[in-house]
Amino acid sequence: MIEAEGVSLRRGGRFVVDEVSISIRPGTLTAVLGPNGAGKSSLVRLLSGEAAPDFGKVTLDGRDLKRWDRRDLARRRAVLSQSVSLTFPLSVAEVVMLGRAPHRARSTRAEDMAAAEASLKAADVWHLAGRAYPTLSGGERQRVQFARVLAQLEDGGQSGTRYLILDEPTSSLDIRHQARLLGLAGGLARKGWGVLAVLHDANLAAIHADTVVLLREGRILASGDPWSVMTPDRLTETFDHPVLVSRRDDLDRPLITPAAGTAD
Amino acid sequence: MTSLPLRDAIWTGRSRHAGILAILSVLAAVAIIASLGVGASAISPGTVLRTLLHAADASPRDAAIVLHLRLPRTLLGFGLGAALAVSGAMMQGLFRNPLADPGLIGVSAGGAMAAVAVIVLGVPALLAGTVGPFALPLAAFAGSLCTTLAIQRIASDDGRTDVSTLLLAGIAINAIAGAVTGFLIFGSDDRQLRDITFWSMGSLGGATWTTVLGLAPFAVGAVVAAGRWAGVLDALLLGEREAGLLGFDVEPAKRRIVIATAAAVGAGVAAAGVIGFVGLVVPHLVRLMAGAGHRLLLPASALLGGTLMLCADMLARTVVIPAELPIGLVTALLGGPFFLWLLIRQRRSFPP
Repeated sequence: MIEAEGVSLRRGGRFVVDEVSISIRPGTLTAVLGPNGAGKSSLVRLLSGEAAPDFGKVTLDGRDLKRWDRRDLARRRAVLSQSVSLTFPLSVAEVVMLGRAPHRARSTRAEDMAAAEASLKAADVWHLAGRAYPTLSGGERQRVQFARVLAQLEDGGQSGTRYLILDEPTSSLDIRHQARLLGLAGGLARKGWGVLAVLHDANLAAIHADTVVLLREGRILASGDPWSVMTPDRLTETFDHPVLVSRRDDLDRPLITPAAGTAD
Repeated sequence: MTSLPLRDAIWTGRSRHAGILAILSVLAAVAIIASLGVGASAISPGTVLRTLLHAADASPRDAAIVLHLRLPRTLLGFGLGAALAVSGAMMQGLFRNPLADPGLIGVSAGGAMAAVAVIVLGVPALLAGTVGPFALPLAAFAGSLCTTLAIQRIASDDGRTDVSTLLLAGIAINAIAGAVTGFLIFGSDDRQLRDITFWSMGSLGGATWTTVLGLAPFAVGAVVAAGRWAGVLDALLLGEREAGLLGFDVEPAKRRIVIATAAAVGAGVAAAGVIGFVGLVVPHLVRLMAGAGHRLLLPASALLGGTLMLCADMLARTVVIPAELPIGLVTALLGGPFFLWLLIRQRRSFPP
């Protein structure tokens, strides 16, 4: 389990994350929702060990992230960042193989290739493997980066839960690939991985998440299963915009409709 | 399983890599032999090879020209070209910017300035005994290192390097180095003045076995070390953040790369003055041929850099026989237009 206990992160004289306690549990897909500037990406940086909290601590399997060897950590948790810019003409295959970097000297080239191939297929970019990354569209790039983080965690013989942290993984994807990516993430969670996804689309969260966390001004407003958390009042308070909640026709999950408010 | 040929083509590509390196090696060998034969007194490739393999059988005249005049110059040129090209490739990876070049961003000028200062002001007596013949390379190394670190500070913000800041900082540093060099020229005598001119335009004319030995450890060191950093350089193309998340120790790696780059450029400047554009043009050509993966980019750049440097030197030696052009002029004449073409092309493919 990745567990943050009362973590705070100060940037520019104010707390962007303020005494937050949250955990990424094995077998669970947690979705984090919140308005712009709520501290979602800062929370991702804390949970991934990229930033050290000013107060509180973050642990993986009970050990402080600061005490993990970088490469050991990289084999256990992967992060899909919001935007990754790459202007050099690496091929898609080379980009995905970069995900195998933490496994150097432990896995054979054949294993690396098999892992990369499986990830490329899972992210539906196998047909792009030979293309130069800068020639891809935004959505294709996002899927390739997703394949890279999948390849990073692929490890046949290794024990230990894997943790996947996704920061707005669907921002450039079409509806089919949005559903596909989160469906895959949910499948990995059922396989025992811990998955956390920062999402902007409340309906994607309502459909795919086991746990929904509402974040506002660096604090957690509510946390729990979709039906208990995604109430009109709470969502309205979180986003500062009227939100209607009903039941989906195709699934017993909340259907969230932002009110058609105009600029006032 | 998917078709194996597809997998081979996409993943390993090793045969293709090997093919490219083999072609570049052949080109390099041809350039070396040509460079040993071309000059005021032309010697046929056959004679060059015979002289190299059986020095005892060759005529004393051929042996003298090939082994004592042209071999050090050729080795210096090749080593220098390789060192500059590999430094350029590493710098471009480090700054995540294809326009980074030791000459353009002021690293060479910083090294040259320090070297000129040593020529004019002399080595302090206390140090002269210990550093002796390595005073110039060490000064150029120190100058290059300081400039690289300064540029890294100026142009990088939160792990991202801003292109325009990088190039503008290069302009400023080139101007400062030029001004300081100008001041030093005031205080120099005729002999020093000639030396300084040689430094600022670049030439392989001063090649002796001593200069070759001065450059060799730095050039070979940088090229060999670069090979070990191919993985982290690839990861750095995604950004420092991603490289860190992939388990690389980014900060120490960056420091080592900066030091190796500065050492290679500094040693090159010490041996032959400022020779621009090799570090820019060569990695670009390789990327066009073979993509941006550093495992191939670095060795291929070394081979192609050495080869192109020898070609430039042959031009410099032959166009105005019996005099010779400074090689820095030749590389600037060829590299300048290439750089402009690159800028225009970038503008077209990434409109502002």
